[in-house]
Amino acid sequence: MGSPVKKIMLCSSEKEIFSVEEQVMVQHSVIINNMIEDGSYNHEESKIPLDCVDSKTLKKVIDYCTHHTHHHNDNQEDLEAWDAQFLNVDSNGLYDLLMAANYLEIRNLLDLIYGTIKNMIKGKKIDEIRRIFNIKDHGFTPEEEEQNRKEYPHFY
Amino acid sequence: MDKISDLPKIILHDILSRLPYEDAARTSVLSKAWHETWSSFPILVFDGSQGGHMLWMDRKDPLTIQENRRKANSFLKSVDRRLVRFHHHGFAIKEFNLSMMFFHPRFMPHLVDLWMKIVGESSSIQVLKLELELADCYFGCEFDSHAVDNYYYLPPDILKAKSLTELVLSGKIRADKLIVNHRIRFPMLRILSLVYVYLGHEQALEDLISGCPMIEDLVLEHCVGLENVKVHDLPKLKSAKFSGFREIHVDVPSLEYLELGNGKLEFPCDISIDKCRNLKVFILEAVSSVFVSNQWLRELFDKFPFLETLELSGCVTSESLMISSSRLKVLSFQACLELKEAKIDAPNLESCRYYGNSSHMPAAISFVNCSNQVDFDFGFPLESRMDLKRLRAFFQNIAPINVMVSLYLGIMRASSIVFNEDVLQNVQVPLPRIKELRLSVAEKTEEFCVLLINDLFWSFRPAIISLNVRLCSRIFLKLLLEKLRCNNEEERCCSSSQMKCWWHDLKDVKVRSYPEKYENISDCEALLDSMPLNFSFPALRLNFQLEWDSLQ
Repeated sequence: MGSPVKKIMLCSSEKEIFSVEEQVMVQHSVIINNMIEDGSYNHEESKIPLDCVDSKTLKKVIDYCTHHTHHHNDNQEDLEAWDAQFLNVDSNGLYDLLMAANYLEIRNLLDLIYGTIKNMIKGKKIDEIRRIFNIKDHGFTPEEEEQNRKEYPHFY
Repeated sequence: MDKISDLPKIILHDILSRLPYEDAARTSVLSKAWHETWSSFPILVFDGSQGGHMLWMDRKDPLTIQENRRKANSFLKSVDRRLVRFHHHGFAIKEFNLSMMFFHPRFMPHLVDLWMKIVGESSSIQVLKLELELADCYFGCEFDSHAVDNYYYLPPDILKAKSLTELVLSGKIRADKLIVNHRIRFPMLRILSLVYVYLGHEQALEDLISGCPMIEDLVLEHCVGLENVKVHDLPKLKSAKFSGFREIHVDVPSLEYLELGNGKLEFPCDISIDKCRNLKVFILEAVSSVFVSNQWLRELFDKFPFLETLELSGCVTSESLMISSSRLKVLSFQACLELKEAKIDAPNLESCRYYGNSSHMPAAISFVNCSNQVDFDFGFPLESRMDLKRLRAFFQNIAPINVMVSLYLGIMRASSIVFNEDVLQNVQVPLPRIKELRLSVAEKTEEFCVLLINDLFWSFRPAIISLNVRLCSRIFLKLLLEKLRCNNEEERCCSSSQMKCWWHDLKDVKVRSYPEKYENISDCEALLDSMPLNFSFPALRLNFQLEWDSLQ
């Protein structure tokens, strides 16, 4: 029998506790890896407080790390399909995930989200990007908007 | 509420830096918030490389000249406004990239000086790229492009940019005065590229290099006043490219990538690189003083035991070469016109490229001891008055290897001439199995395409045919699709001949396409009919998986 899987506790902004395999988080999050390595996390009593990450987002982040730990040998196509499905969220969800990944320093998740936002912009016209990002009020005065359209007609 | 626009600027800048500059620039008019993000984006690219060309007949036309002046002024103003504002707000500048094809040596240097001052004083500057070309005729006056006074003198202000990691200078720029009068020190510089830059003499290069000990990547091409390149004191140097020099002396054991060329110059070049024992990639382009023979190759592989990539372009070679190396992974011949035959004995070879020339018969390339995974990329620029025989002979030459290679055939335009049905007598049995045949055929005459398609399938039975639709002519695609339909109705078409037509051996065809999905040949045909085929055609790759009746 192997030794039981080591777990760590993560605490969301709603004070909900998530118990995760230590290895999963250590592998992906630079911050948690540092905490474990320098001994600032005590397995008996510590909980890692993530005050800026809500439960829904934290659950997703844990899903991501768990999947990529246990399926890293899958073929590239399957992983990409999983990632695409994983990031099938609205722009608010994307924002929350990005802030969480940024806070926990999960490099490959950040790259994935950056790539997704990049694709929302790349090769698209202004009106399309505004729709994708749900920009209802661009904040320009009608004169400024008109001026922009005149000056950069190829953007629109 | 759009939360993405609310992301911290540093994150948005990171995202913008991953986009092509044009896409990033577009976000400046998305909304007020994005406009602000853009206004402090630390990568500044000013591309004045467009519009520098003008028609010869317009060179004295006052309206054109006036319009050019207006364009140039508006470009200069926009650069100036942006930089001054950055300076005023104390925004960090990470990259400054200016290219101008209408440099005027009287009126513009003071402006560029001012910009260089701002860039030099930015403590975060990492990348400086400056490309200046003379505004020949652009403003109605002609410049002597060789006159040293028509160069832009690099100002001492840039020496303050100690954080520079990349310095790329190209065109009418003089660096000699700066180097002679000041001690150059860029302690973090990793990439240095000087193309057509005025250096004056050998000592300038030595002084410059000695102040940049961390250089990993060095490019020197056609530097004015510099005939000999000597590099020895760069312990981190990994990659180097030198072009247009009479003598090249590199003595750096860390070097892994070396590209040498003569440009269009005809003079001989003395090369001494023997101490670069760790060389992995060697690219040699049109260096007429090198004669590529079997002995030269043997010595090369002896001297550089880690060599994995060898690319020869426009080189003078023996008619017959034997390439034998256990390390070699990539081998390329381009426009090596004397080459008639090459035997390649390289068990680790992964890819081989051969690009011929329309006026010469392609060399017979044969593989000995090669893995069955070699990717063979073959480009054959057929031009007018060219018959298919040459191509057919080439097929026959590589046919006997009988390994699962993937083969790329790029065929430009041709005008076909008489074809004899002799192909049937020349077919090799068994036919070579080819894993993937990638094709781009721009030829537009129906007759040629029919012959080509027949020749291809008489010569090979590929498991996959892969087409880049953008690079193919409509007629070729149409004819190929028609043939691949597996029409067995015309069973009688070859009953009088001793051999069956190739398409009767074709049992099944499956279509896969990328990025759009087309399931079958009819879909593909419908697509062809619905759209004009040209370079603006969306990128589309069609793959056909072919199942053949067993070949005897």
